[in-house]
Amino acid sequence: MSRRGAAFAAAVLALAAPAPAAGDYLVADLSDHRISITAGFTGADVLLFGTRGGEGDVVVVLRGPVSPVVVRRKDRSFGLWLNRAQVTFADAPGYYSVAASRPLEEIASPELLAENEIGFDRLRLAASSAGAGADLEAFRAALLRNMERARLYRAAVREIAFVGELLFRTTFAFPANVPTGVYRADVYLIADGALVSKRTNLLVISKIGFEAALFDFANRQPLGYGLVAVLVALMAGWSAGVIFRKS
Amino acid sequence: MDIYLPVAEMSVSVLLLLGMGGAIGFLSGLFGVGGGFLMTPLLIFIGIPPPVAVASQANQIAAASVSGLLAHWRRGNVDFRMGAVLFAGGAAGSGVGVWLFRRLSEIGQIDAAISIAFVTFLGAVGLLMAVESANTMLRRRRGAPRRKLHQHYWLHRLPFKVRFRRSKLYVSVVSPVLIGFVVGILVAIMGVGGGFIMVPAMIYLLGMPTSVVIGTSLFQIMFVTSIVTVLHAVTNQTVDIVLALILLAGAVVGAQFGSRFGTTLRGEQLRGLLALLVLAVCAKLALDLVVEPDELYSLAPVFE
Repeated sequence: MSRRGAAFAAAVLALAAPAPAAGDYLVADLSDHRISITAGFTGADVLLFGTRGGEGDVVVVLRGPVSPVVVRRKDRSFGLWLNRAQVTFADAPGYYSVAASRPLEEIASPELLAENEIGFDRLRLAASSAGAGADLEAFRAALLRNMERARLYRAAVREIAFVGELLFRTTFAFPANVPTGVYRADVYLIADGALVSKRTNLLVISKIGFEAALFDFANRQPLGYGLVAVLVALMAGWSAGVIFRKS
Repeated sequence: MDIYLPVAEMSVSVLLLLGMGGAIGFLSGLFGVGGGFLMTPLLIFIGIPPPVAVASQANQIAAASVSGLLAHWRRGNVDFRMGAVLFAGGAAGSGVGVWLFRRLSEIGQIDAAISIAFVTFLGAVGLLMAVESANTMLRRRRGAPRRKLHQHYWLHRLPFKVRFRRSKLYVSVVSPVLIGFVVGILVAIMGVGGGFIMVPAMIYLLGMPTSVVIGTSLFQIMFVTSIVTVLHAVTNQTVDIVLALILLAGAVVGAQFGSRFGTTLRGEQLRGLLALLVLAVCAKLALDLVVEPDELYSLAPVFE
């Protein structure tokens, strides 16, 4: 927290300098632009801070990289609960969270919110393939529910706190199972129900060091990785046997 | 202390994994079984994705079988010719098993298939062991003599007969190849060593002498789990070497304590205990299949 605190303090100093505070003035930044997944990774918090030129509400949407996801529904067949119907969503974000200075409905019209996919239930999730007669709405709800349980989506809107009139800050949390890739934080300034200004910040979440090397090896040279895995395991098993035979 | 497993892409407590490895290692030292048939379900219970659990378990078993194999080899208890024949079948079986695994993953049935396979085999083996150890305990009480059986049945009349000197057998290679094949499929789909199927099959179907059965089955297990590891790595990219090595570390230590503790218990009591354990895991898996789950929907990434 101290590093992030220092970053925030530096930002406050920088931003507190007299600026051309036009009504549509909006700057924001993240405390980290890169999150590294290492062996000890158990999740991370990222602070988003910024300043606005004048009156207006601030909304932040943080989205992870999109990828296709299959949602399957279990049904009882032959007395067992087995996966039956399935729907594929072509580009579901791997992470989704919203922060706002006031409840979303008080800030903007449903149209503006929908257009910018602001809010958990306004995420546009297009089904790319679905079995006949599948209840798409139920599958979509199941996707949201399961992602929320994995703490990758957040239905509740995070609070944006103001420091004085113009400075704002909010924190996003990433669980340990967070997908890697490029994340986008869209910061909106909305006044009187109209979009005044928008800023985008990027955040990269990636594996580094030994974890990254191993993951890349496993995916780029699977045969080599498999052979090395077997060799390492056999050597480890053999040396363990030698150690315990002597003692 | 948590560790991030690079292939499973999740963070798990190291102590939990070491503890599980240790507990299973203790049981395997105690009962003289591999323990893979308990480890894969346990890994699934703590939330490791089943494909990663199976593939990494195969890798772990390859490691765990080395020292046992070497010990039996030094004592001359490995029938290499029989091992090679079993392995030939096992290699083909693991190819088929990994292909099947991939197909089942694509249609979203792999988790259920793994559970059904475990329920079937754990149920059958657990019941057999329970009945056998109960019978032995009763017989011991009554003091009746043990039957000894070595019969010749149709299996011994199959063609392609080969002499297996160490096993003192002159039998067709068809049955050991078939046994190896079936075990290869099980290794690929369940992440087990398959000793619990192979050892009885070698004793009762092939009529091998008990002295060479363990060493020879370890020979087959080490090679088949190695092949399955490579095939899973190539086909599904689900082998997590970090997970495998942590489990191995726990298992190696646990096995030392298990084998010391095991000498204080009688054989049929041990088998009775193991049978109860096997049936408990079987029951838990069966319940998960039969009882309506709280969440009917599940998510999975799309295969390219």
